[in-house]
Amino acid sequence: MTAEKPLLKVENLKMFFPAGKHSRNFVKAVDNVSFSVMKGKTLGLVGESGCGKTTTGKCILRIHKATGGSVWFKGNEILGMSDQEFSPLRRKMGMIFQDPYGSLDPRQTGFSAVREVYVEDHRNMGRGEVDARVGELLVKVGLSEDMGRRYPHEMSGGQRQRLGIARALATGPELIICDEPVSALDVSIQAQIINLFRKLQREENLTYVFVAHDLAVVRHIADVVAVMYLGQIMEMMESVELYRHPLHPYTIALLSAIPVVDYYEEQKRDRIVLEGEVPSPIHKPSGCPFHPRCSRSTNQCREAVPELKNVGNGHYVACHHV
Amino acid sequence: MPVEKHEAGKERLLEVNDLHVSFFTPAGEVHAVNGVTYHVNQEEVVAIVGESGCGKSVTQMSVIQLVQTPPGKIIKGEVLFQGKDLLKLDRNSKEMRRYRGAEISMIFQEPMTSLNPVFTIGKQMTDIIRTHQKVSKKEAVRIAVSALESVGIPEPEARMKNYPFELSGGMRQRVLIAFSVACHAKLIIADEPTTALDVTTQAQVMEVLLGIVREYRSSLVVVTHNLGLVSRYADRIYVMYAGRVIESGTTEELLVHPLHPYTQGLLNSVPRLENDKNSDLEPIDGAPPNLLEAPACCAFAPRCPFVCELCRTQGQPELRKAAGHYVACHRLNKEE
Amino acid sequence: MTGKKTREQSAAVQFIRRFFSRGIIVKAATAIVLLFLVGMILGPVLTPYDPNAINLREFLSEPSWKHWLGTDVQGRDVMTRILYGARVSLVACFFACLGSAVVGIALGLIAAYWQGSIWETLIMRYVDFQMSLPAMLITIIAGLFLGYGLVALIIAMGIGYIPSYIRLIYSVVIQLKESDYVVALRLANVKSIQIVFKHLLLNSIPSAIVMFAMNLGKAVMLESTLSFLGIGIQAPQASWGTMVSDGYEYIFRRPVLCLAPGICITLLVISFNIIGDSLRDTLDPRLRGRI
Repeated sequence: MTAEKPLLKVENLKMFFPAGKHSRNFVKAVDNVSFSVMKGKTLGLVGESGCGKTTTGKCILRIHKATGGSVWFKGNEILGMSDQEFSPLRRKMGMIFQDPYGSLDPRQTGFSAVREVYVEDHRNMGRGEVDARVGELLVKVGLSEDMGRRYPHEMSGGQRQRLGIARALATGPELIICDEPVSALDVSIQAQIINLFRKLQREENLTYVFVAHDLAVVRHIADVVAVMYLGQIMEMMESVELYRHPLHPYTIALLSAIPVVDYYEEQKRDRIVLEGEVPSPIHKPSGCPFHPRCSRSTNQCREAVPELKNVGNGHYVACHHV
Repeated sequence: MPVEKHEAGKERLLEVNDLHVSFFTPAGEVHAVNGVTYHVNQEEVVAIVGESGCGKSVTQMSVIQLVQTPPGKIIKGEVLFQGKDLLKLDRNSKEMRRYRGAEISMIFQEPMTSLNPVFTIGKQMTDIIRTHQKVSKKEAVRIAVSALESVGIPEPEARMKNYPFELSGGMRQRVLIAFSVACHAKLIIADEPTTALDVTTQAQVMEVLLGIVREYRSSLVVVTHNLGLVSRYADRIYVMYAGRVIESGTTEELLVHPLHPYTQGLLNSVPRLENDKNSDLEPIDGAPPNLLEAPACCAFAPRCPFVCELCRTQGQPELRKAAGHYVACHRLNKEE
Repeated sequence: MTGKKTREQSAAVQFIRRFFSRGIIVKAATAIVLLFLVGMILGPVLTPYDPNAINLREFLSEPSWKHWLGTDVQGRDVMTRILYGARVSLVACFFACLGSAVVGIALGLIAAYWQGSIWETLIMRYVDFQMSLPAMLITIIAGLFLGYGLVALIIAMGIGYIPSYIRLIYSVVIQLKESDYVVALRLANVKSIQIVFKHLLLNSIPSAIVMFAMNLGKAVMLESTLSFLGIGIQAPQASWGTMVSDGYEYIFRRPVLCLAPGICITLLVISFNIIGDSLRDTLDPRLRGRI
């Protein structure tokens, strides 16, 4: 690790939602999350539903107003900024959504959807030039000119997601938050889109925060992986490390729960089937949030929240027993 | 290992022959299923694998005649369940309903849609038990509680009083499995049973389902796109593409030595945990065909890296035996 | 560019085909509405009589070749009066619905997009207030203030329908506003005004069209009721409501005086409702775009 400044740095981010209209309780969707991402790298945020991974992404983009903490983007703290101050920075950040159909206006052709976003920064550019640039963007994500004339419902899921990517690129972003961008797609299409993400990163030096529930998908795109559970990061490390030497009991169980395709490998694997289900974030367990389902849980786990400790090589674990 | 040897001494429970199902839409006739043939033996776990729109779910819905008609219509084919052709029965007849509930039980991707939101779990379970078995109300409750217990639902008596929305997704899926336990279903058809669930819950539900199938010596058909799931649980696999079975064989045969270019492509596109970050995936180019026209030749030809003259001229390839299992590919059949 | 055009055309053609593929009833309803429209426009050409000319020599004559539906107590030709009455019914109702739609959609958009502002509170409280009163009462009160005549009638009826559009557009836009594509546009700093008019408005129009067709049916009914009660169109101008009201006294001697305009009202109301239903099903986004 060099002393280079990270492009994105999140410190003690908190997002609490009121648990109900008249309730004084809070749903701690994101609780003290810290991480940083270097330029041109990818951070994978992994976890099961309700772990706060999507909320974290939306707080960074200020779609949700975070309860506490700070987010530094290109050296500026953005959560405290006014809307006017934030506005130019916002176009340097993009988002790609899980549901490619819901993220496109059904009454707008692919071309005009990208054009509308692109033209925002290029008001004094000639019409022909704008059209040419938008066309280039579409080609870059693998859409033909003919595809650009279609409406979302005339496209396949993969094509819609490509369009979503083109639109995100149209603002000229440095950071893209990808919220489960491939989980709604079929396997063969999923692979095409993952490869597209990788190609764009190489060509444009993009930085991704890649939110996903599928560890295998994240394996192919992320440099650093953070495993979240009930709003907290349980383990964070370089992607290679995660799969070779997972330390946190939750990460180990999660990896074991994913069946692998390789037949012989799968037959000889031992599986850990966790007891119970992810508790609702409203009734978050005391101490370590994972302790009710953990085989190694002790009194200490019930009482004290474990710190995210550095165990060397940029590997961080939040567990009392590591 | 030849397929026949693997199947020796096992009785056929379900046999589907040359099934054709179409949907009549304003845009035209969609040929969702184009001549699917498969079978399920007793005490066997069969996986039907394919991507969305390949007709895998429609095939299963046709078996129990739950295809919405109109716009759907079963054009032709046979569905032999223990030798009896279910398609000859009227879809609303008493006999068909008995098969549908008591003999064949279906588990859907989103369990909320198959549970009635306004009745308690207990009420729905005892109702189903009493329509299929002549038992007293008290006895039905006892059967229901023990069924819930057998699928690992904690405090089953208390859960009987719950409404479906009060349970989590994993619990609802277990309740549906309990339905088939209570009815002693001989065949359980699970359509993407764990797709809507979290990874750790997914593993739990599959273990429970498999436990039940083994314990009650039922058969299971899992419809899924998750090849990992298949590798862990299935005995035999059918791979579907564009409304047809294109390859079938034992799980080991098919996953270790896939023959059809589509199966190979599918296996190569799956992101794997053991791979390196720096390796690109090998996706299949293009997209599945739309089925507004019944494909005249091999439906995979436009995406196939090994496409040859035969593929475009010879009509749809038949499922033929090749190197230990069955595959529908002109190129391979020619080499045989 | 031509490719684009054909695609759009084919979408329109597809829409029309799908609309009519819903059965004979939809076709019949559309035919009835068209028939009334033609009758309304060609009224003066089709009949030689003046709708308001009193001819006491021929009062209450039976239907004949000369007077297809007979004459009323003042000797006016009933057929002619029905054709002229259609003008009032259709024109008044159409403009009342159009006006209320424009105002209602605008207010609904404002309330929904600037949720949490004072405008939202004001608009939605107004909706609650008006919806707690019967539409008829609102119209009668408005009618009293505005006086008599066609324009007054249009405004009075229009006011009654505004809240229904506000409610509808409000709920549709609130949903659309949370959709990912609106979030995506906001992330790209696209201006609010552009989001509202280019995306939210266009996507909520289909629901408004359905509401419009439904309201047309209701308005025909309301106009007739008002005229029957003597609040709407004033004598001697013909409207179906006043015709029913006038013919009412002779219902046993000459039932056609009452029945003819009555049947017209019923046919038109039912037709508008069927068209509205069919539009809703055809425009339903869940059914659109599926193969």
